[in-house]
Amino acid sequence: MSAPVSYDAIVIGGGVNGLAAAAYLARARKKVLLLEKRDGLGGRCAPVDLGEGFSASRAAPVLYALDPRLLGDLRLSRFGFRPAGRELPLVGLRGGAKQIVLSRNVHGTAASILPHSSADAAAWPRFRAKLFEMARAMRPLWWEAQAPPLDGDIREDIARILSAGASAWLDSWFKSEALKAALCFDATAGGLSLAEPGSAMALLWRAAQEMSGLQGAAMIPAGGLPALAAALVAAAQDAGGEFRTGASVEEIVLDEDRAAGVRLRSGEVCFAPVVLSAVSRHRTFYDLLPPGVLGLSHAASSDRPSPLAQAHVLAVLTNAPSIGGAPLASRFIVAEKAETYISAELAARNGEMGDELPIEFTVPTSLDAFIVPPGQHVLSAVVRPLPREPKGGWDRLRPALGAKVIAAIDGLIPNFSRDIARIEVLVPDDADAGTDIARLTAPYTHRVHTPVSGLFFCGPEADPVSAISGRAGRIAAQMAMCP
Amino acid sequence: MSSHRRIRATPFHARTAASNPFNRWAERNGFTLALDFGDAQEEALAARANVVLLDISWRSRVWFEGANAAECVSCLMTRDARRLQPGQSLKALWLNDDGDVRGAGGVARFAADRFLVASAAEDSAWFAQAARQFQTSFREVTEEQGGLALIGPFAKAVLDAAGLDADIELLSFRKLFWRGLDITLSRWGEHAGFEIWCDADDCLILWDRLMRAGAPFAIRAAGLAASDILDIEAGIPRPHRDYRPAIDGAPSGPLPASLGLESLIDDAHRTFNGAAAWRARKPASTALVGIEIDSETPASFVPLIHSGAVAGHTLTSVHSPALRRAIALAQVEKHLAVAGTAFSLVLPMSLDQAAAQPVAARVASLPFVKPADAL
Repeated sequence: MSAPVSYDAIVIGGGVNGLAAAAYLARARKKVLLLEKRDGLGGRCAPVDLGEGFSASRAAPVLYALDPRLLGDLRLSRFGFRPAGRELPLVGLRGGAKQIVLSRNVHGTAASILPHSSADAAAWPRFRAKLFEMARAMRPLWWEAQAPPLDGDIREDIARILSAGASAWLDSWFKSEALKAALCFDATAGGLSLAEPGSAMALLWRAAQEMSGLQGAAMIPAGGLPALAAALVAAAQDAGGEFRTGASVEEIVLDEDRAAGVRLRSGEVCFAPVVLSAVSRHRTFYDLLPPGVLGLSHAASSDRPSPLAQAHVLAVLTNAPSIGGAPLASRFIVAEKAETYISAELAARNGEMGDELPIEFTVPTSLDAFIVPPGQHVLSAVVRPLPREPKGGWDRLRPALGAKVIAAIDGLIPNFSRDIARIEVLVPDDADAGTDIARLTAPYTHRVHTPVSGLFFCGPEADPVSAISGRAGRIAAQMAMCP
Repeated sequence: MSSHRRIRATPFHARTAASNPFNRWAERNGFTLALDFGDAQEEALAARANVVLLDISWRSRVWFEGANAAECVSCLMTRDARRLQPGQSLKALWLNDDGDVRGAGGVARFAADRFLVASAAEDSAWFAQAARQFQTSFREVTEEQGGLALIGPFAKAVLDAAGLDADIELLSFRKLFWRGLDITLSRWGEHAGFEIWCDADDCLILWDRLMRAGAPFAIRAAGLAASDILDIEAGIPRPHRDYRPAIDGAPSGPLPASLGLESLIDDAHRTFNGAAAWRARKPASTALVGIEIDSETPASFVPLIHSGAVAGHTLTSVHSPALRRAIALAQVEKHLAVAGTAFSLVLPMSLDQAAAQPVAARVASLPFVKPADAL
């Protein structure tokens, strides 16, 4: 065994949060080591070779929650990160009916809603303004380590939202099932239920994000998510960060009650007074820490992921899909009505797949944002809610899920199934840990700080909603650097 | 507490039902048990003067087994079970992450990798999740066995008459094969008695044998009411009766010191769950005491008045046949927890007592009554 090596900080996990943490620490002149068990960096953004010249990230290629501070502080554009599509409208895809196109153009959106409901068309500008106002008021809580309390009228508005299920809140604004169905998809992020009190907060969280300087926007980066991962790696390395892949951490080493480093599977021990864990909460508190170090309740609370999950379905197409009435560079929602989500959730909680499944899909190749052989296209679909642990396992469910997605989209896009060359279904992993209302209403410090001195948590569950963000990594690094 | 829980009968139910002349029953830990067998006061006196048989099958019993069982139980308990040798046991508390009392019970080491935890209140979910964290096998066996307590100065004589070698020390136990029955003979209880455990299918045989062996000593069955009297006389606070354990979702629970249970925490054991929080706590402002009441009427959960102000409250109160007065466990301000401190309280009103009646009371040393020596 080689002599023990000492660092200022060790980061466990090479996903976006881990990379962000390492980059911030390296920029602050800390001697930082990032350890990733896989052979490549990027976590869910890392390219997965699916054969035949086809490569994809585990996560869908749409970004809507990337921390804007990363772009400026780490100057990611210097390292090749740029948007391919800056703002994707949200399109409620309706078979045989006019699409609902929700974009930054408020009046254009209202015109799109009008055939479905004149009252809803009239309400849309007020709804959007109110949603964005409340979302901005919540930004300090969702963007920084701590936030001052809310006051004034906005506090009353937020208090009402805290007890509101997303479906009930949307019902209070709109009549059109088509419009509500399109809006509901974002409220089911992280396994939340539309009927769950407080799930309306997920819509606020989504609207609080900012991509390319635009509030509530969705963006597809050029080169897809692997380009984001590559830019973060380059930024950290440029500042002097050290990376090791194929390095599986087996244990967080403690010196009495404080972090002292990590032990690798190889037996090597790397010492550091600060350890940031960007892997899942379960792995951090259950696997890497000796049992009994945390309180038994604290550790046990890391053992209960949401029973609801999502899957990423990729369809390789021989032709670009033709969707009338909406730009191809959009986020398309396939859901008949709000009850579609609820029925799917009930089935998922029983370990089954619903008869109809809500789907969000994009065609990233329309923006030159995907690695495919020439002449081919990709449709990337997120399907939720699904059972995290289906009866009979994912091997049984995977083919049926792919078939169901094809059938759902085939009814809306002419010749879609005819143009499919292959289907890949990427099932949930532990980075898709779900969320809960408590995370949406508590500051980052509650999740990043741990009972072990010198240990900071910035895994998927550190963000209010598990998403490609990097914010937890930034905040954890900043907290770690505080005296 | 258990209004929505399934109520079960113990393996001795056929015998206790036959001996329960007034059909009085009570629920304990999800089991239905005889409240008394005719006269709880006489049964409690018999435990002091003769010998009684109590059905203790309701007590929760769980196994921890595996290579990490010792570490797991050591982490759970406020005394280090790793120091036990097979055949030895200890009493301890288990605390929540905040240092509040979740439960109290006994830990018996059957083998290097096998521990039994017995307690008056079940906490299986807590134990099970701790076992998962230590990759230890966990199994609840409460319904698989039955247990009888033999209490009184003639308890050992009854066992001798039954052909059992009862020469075991307090907090010890022994597995025996007794005329075709696999039993465990232990001394885990608080009344210097003996406990005999066997498989549920053998319980009626066990009952009959002990009753026959005890007949020359005027053995009688005792119910829950007599057991409660013995507990209060011994100064033992009971979970869900005298205090609310700090289980998940409950308000902040009691501190060990406020229940007089600090002796069940080993200062040298640094790594039990909640240890850091417990050590960081300010000292408790109240202490557990015994209260003798100048009345024969018990007064449970009533305020205790000292110098015109409320300075504490009683917990469970019973009439003690040994002392021929009402007694109670109580929590009082720490500076008043001195034997002889005078209080007053108001007896609860009832059909027989339509007017509030203040009576005098005073702090008494615990235990009120010590167990009688074996004969």
